[in-house]
Amino acid sequence: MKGLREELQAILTGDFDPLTSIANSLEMLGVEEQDLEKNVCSSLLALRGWTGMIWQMESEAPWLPYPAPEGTLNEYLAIRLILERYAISHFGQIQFGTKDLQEIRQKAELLSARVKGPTLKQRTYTVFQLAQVNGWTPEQLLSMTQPQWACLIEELEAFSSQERRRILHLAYERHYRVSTLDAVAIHSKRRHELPRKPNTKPAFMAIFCIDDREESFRRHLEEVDPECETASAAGFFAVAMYYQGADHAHYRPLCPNIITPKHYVREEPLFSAIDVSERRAQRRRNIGRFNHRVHASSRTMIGGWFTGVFGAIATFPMVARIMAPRLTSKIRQSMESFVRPPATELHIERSAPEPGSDPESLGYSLDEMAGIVIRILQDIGLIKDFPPLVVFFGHGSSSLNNPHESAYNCGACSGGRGGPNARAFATMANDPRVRKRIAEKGILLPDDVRFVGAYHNTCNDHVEYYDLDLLPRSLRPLFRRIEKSVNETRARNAHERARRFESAPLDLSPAAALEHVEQRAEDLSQARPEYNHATNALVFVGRREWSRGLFIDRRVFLTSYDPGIDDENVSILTRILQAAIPVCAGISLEYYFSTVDTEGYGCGSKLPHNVASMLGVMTGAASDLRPGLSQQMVEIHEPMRILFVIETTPEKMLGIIAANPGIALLVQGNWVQLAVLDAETSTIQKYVNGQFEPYLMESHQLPEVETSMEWYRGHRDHLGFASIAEGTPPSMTTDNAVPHLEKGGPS
Amino acid sequence: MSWLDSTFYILGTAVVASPAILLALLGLSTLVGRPLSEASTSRLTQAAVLFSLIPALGILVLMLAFGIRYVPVELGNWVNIPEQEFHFHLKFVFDRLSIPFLLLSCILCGVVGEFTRRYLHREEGYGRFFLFYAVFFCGMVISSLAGTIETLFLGWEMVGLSSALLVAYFHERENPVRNGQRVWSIYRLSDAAFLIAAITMHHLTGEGDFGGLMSSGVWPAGTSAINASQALLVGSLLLVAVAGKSALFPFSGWLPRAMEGPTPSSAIFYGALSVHLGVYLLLRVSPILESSFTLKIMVIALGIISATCGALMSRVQSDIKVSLAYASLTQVGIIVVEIGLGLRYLALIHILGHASLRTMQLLRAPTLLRDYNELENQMGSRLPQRKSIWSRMVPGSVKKWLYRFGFDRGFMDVALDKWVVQPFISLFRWFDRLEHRTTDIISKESSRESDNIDLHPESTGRAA
Repeated sequence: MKGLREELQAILTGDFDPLTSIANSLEMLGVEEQDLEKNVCSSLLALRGWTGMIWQMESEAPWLPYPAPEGTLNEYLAIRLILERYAISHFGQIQFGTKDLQEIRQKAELLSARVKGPTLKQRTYTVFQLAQVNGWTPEQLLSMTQPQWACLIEELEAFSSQERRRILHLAYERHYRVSTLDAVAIHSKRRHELPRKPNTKPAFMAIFCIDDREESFRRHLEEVDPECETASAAGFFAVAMYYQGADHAHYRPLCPNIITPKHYVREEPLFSAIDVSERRAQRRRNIGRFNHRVHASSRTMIGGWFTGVFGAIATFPMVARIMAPRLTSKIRQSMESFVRPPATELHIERSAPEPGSDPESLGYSLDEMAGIVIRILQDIGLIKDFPPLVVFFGHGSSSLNNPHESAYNCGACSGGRGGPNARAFATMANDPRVRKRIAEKGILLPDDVRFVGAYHNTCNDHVEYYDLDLLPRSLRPLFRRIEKSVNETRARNAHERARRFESAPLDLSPAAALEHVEQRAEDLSQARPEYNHATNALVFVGRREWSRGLFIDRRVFLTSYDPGIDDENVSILTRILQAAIPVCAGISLEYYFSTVDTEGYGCGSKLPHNVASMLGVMTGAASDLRPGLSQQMVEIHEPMRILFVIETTPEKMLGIIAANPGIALLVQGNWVQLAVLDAETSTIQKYVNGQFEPYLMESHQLPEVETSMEWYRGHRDHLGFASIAEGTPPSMTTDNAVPHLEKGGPS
Repeated sequence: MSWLDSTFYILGTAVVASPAILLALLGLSTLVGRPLSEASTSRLTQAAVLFSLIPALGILVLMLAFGIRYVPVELGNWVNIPEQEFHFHLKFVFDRLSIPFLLLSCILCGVVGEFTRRYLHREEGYGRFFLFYAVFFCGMVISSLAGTIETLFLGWEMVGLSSALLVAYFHERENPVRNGQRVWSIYRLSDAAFLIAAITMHHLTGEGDFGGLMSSGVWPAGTSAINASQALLVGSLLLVAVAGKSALFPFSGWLPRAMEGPTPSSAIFYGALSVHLGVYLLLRVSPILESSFTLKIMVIALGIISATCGALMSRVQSDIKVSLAYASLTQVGIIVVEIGLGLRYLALIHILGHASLRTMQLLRAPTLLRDYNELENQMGSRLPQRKSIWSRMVPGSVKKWLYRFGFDRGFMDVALDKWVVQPFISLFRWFDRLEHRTTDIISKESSRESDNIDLHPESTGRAA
């Protein structure tokens, strides 16, 4: 390692140019022009996880407390190459007795050249397996001639292990694809043949994120209250913003990470509650300072002495939290009411001309709001026959002892919680001035139609509503009805989720299942607070009409789209797919790769994880940075490329693919599977090698059941499709067991 | 035997028997190939902890009620060889030192057992974890109550074995196994020192009873029955044992390596109980510190060095578990200083408080990102970076050096490898070559077939 110190001295004195250094190192290492990319890649990827993290910190995350300055990745590569050079020459000294890099390279290449087909043992083993499967006897093998053996071995080696696995995988995907497309064709036909309801106006509408975890919630809500309708749009509801809650220290983006927001929105206490809010904020600050002092000094010498001597006090909350997580959290929450911000509102209307983070430039202009509202109403196909109440549900998740917590939140909000987006959207859509601007564009929102924002916690199935005080008195009975249905839905949704949790008995009642999931969210020792997107496999883009009542086992991203209101250029579908295809494909591929190689692309088992550098996790005391998904998150996932079923025509779809390189890359590269549906005739065409081919059904059976529960009860594994009968509202049996929620307060 | 004595006897036996029965049940069921289900394993574990904890509380209440300060429970001589003057004497002692430590062990083990029940759910090694856990729990109970040095050694060994196995819990990966082995070898070193100390004590006093070592009085009032030079000899050996077990200087290197296991095992074994077991031994034999001033100075110096190194190393670690591990080391060092200064009650309270706090911190270590976010939200700003007084007093170059010292974990592992392990290995390699040559000569051909076998491609021939 001689000379390293002098070489690195340049960095201290400041005349260090990373790019020059990289070029020098590559030259000294004797890297040829054509090997450049390969070599640089392998140097960068040698320490798994870090390169990507550095690049993300440098380019995508300006809001971090310590973002990486521009050029960090270059510096990282430069230093790595310097160290690599010294390491190689050190190794060369030991192995080949020379320090000259070129010489080491030649000798090493000479060594690596003498490899290698499969070894004798590997070949033998394959033949052995084949013999076992085919029932070949030793006599048969002994009597084989030399040419026969040669032929056998040749065939075996021509059909490589990778090729075998590829075919197996295609068969695996085909199995699920066929059952899906059959189910869609049969179910949509059944729906089509149902007698039309005379009154087309639903009792209320509930709008969710396209997230696969909301599929069951919607299905149950529709079962609980058949007069309602549901729809979905990407969970940021077109409100791309930096958001700061009343008890948040900073702004954070709440929109897909491909969008860089320009608008800032802040949650502020109501004018009359400013004093109360300030007092509580002061209390929070005091508590925070105290906690921070204890936390930081418990690791120093003197402070650690104090905290150590009095540390026995820590036993009581610890024992309580571990023995009775749910109860402890309830006690904590009731104590927190002294510090929680009082009633709040969103600072969403801007007075300054340009958006920004100054107090007067927070929020949106009325025209921008109108644009957002129109966009979402068109996306979900709701431009006439408005029901009196439309509830928008943002979603997120909360769990403890989970470094991956934000991976459980809304993907359309860059791993944030989508409640504020729903609240912001409802605020915009309720504004009469915005409605006037919308009316100019041809969408008439009657005065008695109101929007409500809500937040669904997918981990404990908690739902809270925003700004209920602003709801007209006349709508309160309807709201109570919605609330009652949603509460029943929460219990049923928890019940359906609980079937996948091995620690939840299969004979739980819905109310007990709700308690079970609440417990999971508060449990420090819970490695699987929820299963997140695991098992995701499908995306449906189209009207809810043809998929309503189809049991899809929480495996589908449901995206609303009404071809009836789209124009000839399919501009609505284009903008929906521009978001839906990359986002859903991204989630699907993340799960795919983490499942097929949990140690390499995933982050292995969660149990020994160790939070490193406040950036991510590593395994145990020393390992790579591990950015993938953990074994506990993907253990029930089936690795398949996601299948899109889109309600449009092949021509239009091909047009969209041709016009959007982002979509073309994924579709033509076969990273996703694609099919289009004609809902009128229930015919499906499948995308194969750049064109659509008619899909021929393989089965005409699809079970019919009365309720979802009837279909899934008693099963732990993946479940197939079933049609759930369109029913009258069943009696709400578990109503009393489901606790009523406090409303209105922001989280 | 009065009713009180027999009550004590029954309760005392229950305290020790309960973990032993747990160990037998978990171990035997695996041995006969009928592993227990997750639910029954955890239920058995809960029951065992309770049946240890409740009698212990009963004894405590009776002792307080009757003003008794010393309750021995004799289980007789298990091995007795009069010719060699050797006996293995099982004796458990309930006094003011052992009862608090026993209660701490039971409560922390109980909490961690409950935590692990859900944390390791669906894990392949669920049964294995709880088996090691039973070994550990049994070892902790035995060593906290031990009334003779051989009993203590029994418990001490069980704790050591289970700790090393739990570090290597994820045995399908390479690092945990290597690190487990490292922990194990340092434990063996401290065991050896312990064993020599025990034998020396037997020679000096004729028995291994702590009561005999301390001629009169019960803890902490005892005085030593041996003279200063004998105390120094036994004491130094015990100090090596303590340093190995409690990861004091220069053995601190194993502490971060022990973070390979699942979170709860790191919490209980390294944050809380295992690392305090060494100082507990020191506390147990603290009366002999009184008889040798040199020994006292050694203890205090060891404590100060360890605490300082721990504080330096804890400050610069970039991951939470290792940072907490070194923070533990700092406090253990301070506890050693307290013992050296004769502040025995303070040391005991410090052990109890520190163990509880660290368990809690380690158990919720994975939630650090969320905790920091919440702290920032509460304070309404980024976390303040407090500059300590030291950072203003120490000049820049020293600061850099200290940073490196801390970052490279005090160079302790490197130094041990270079100055202890390497010479050891070279010596035995030399012996190996000698043997090789001799056998070659005798057999008149190459005598070792294993030389011709290729190394495994991933084998680097060096341990991390």
